[in-house]
Amino acid sequence: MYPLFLVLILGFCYSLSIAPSLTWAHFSADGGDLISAAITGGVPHPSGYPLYLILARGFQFIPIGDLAFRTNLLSAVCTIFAALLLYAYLLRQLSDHPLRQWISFLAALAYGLAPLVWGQALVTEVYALHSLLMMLCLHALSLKESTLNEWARGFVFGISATNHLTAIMMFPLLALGSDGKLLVSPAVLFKRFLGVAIGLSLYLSLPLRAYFDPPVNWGNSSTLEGFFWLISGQLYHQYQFRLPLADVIQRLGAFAGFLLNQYTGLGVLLGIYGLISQPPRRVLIPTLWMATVFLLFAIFYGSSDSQVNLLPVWMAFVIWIAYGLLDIFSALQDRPKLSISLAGLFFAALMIRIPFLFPSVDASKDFRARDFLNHAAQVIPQNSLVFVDGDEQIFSLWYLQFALNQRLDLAIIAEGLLPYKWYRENLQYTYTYLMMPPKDKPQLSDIAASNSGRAICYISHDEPILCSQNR
Amino acid sequence: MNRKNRFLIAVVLSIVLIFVAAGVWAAPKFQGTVPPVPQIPVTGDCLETVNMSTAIFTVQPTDCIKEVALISDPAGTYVPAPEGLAFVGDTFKVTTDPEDAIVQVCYAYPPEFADKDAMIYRLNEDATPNVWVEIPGADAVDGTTCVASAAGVFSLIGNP
Repeated sequence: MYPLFLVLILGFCYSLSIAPSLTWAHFSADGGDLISAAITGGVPHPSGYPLYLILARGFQFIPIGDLAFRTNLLSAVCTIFAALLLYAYLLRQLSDHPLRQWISFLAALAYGLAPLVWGQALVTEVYALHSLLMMLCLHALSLKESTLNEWARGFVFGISATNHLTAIMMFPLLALGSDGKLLVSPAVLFKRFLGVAIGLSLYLSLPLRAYFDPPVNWGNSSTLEGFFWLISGQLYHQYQFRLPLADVIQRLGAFAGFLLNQYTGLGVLLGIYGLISQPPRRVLIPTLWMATVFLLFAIFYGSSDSQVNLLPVWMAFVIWIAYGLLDIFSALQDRPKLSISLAGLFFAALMIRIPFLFPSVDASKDFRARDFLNHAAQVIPQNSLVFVDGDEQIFSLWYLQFALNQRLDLAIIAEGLLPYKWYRENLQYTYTYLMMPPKDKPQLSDIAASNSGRAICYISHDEPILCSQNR
Repeated sequence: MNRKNRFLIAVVLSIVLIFVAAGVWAAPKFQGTVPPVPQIPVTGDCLETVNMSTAIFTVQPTDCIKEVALISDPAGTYVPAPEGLAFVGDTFKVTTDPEDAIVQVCYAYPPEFADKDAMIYRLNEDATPNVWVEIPGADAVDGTTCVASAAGVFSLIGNP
């Protein structure tokens, strides 16, 4: 009954607010890259996301909406499953409390309706699946050996890292015992890491994909050098720990604001109360670890959208909220009617909040990507060379060309990738007519000069599209 | 720790969080998935034409362009746009040999720029303080606007 309500409420909210097509909402500029890579058998930006690609391709066969909508659906489904798994996890952990179903239900619902979680459920991105996998890791850690083999426990962690590389920050938890012991024996640890290795082996599918020269082929991972460049996320090492101190302090303040925005003042109070009420060690250590490492990563990672890495923090926090509720309901154990009324009030508060949150998360009316593509298709002359800068613009044009097979006359050139040899090679086999100057660092003017007669267009972020005849 | 004390601590910590809460997540501009385009000036011993994508600079065969650099913050580096106007296109510093060589400056000129009455301006560096001066005689044809001027700092300025 409770899981059904969870699915119905979250399903209703997500279906009303999901993006109907390609979208830039909720930090989903990479959507065009991921969709194009999935449908063309290609390899998206580092770290390649092989698990996501397989699942996304499966969803792309669903015969409703356009290709982008189908891929957006994957995120909605993953978030609903994450909430269900959270419900099941809490139900197991709170097994001796009469109101455990209510508590688990309220916590799972609060998680699914947290604005950052809700937003990621509506768009094509890897973070909804990442949340599901992080929940799966917590669940796998909590299961007894009789229920889950040690290698299978490790496999869950390994496969999680084939969606998002930050999942490797969870690996140290594999040293924790699952049957009340603090640490596992070396033999068990070996079995678990064998499972991790098997899970990670999904990365080996990337060189195979790259071998067939798909149009989206970051790093050309069919070479050993390209493979390690891709899966190590080397391109983004420049973003790590490079943030000025003032920005770090600003992010800490923003984190407090975000937390209040996700769960309200009451939720934050309950979460802190639950945390200091000392949940059992089997819950406290993994959730505290998960919250800490992902919070530090989000704060210190210098990308413009690093706050999406807070999703596992919200997950850990809502588990503490559940323990806060548990303690309150335990205090009211001899007054069952009051307990039920209080649970009903918390539920009503969550439901009343929905219409207030809706406008800030609603992606159903985000037509920026569509409008950009319509405008670009209209103003860019036939057979142009299009130099593009900006994630939204580059990946939207890839979606137009590689996923929708439109404007195949254009050569889309991502300026920021031109310094990379793999990208120049990729341009050569994707646009066989393109003449690339034989230089390590070709300037745009070199490429334009080598392809005289074609119009040149220049797109930089949300600036107007500039086109001129190349004589 | 008893329930009352735990609750008090939770209340105090929640209040602290409310007080330190700030609204904006510090997000470095354009540090996304595709690395930002490095703003490297185009240099050479003697270039006749330099294509900077949004603008093309050409000199007579007897003269040379030594460098064209994109100025990402013209208001900060030099002076703001004239009152009531704004920078609508890129700003470039063009260095030539001889220093005062005549440069043909051509900016891409889509309808969005025409709607803003955007014109090519040159920075008068002899004035104190420096001032942006419109270069007369602009010729806008086929999505491009061109003028001829002595080398210097150029920008496309129009209505905001």
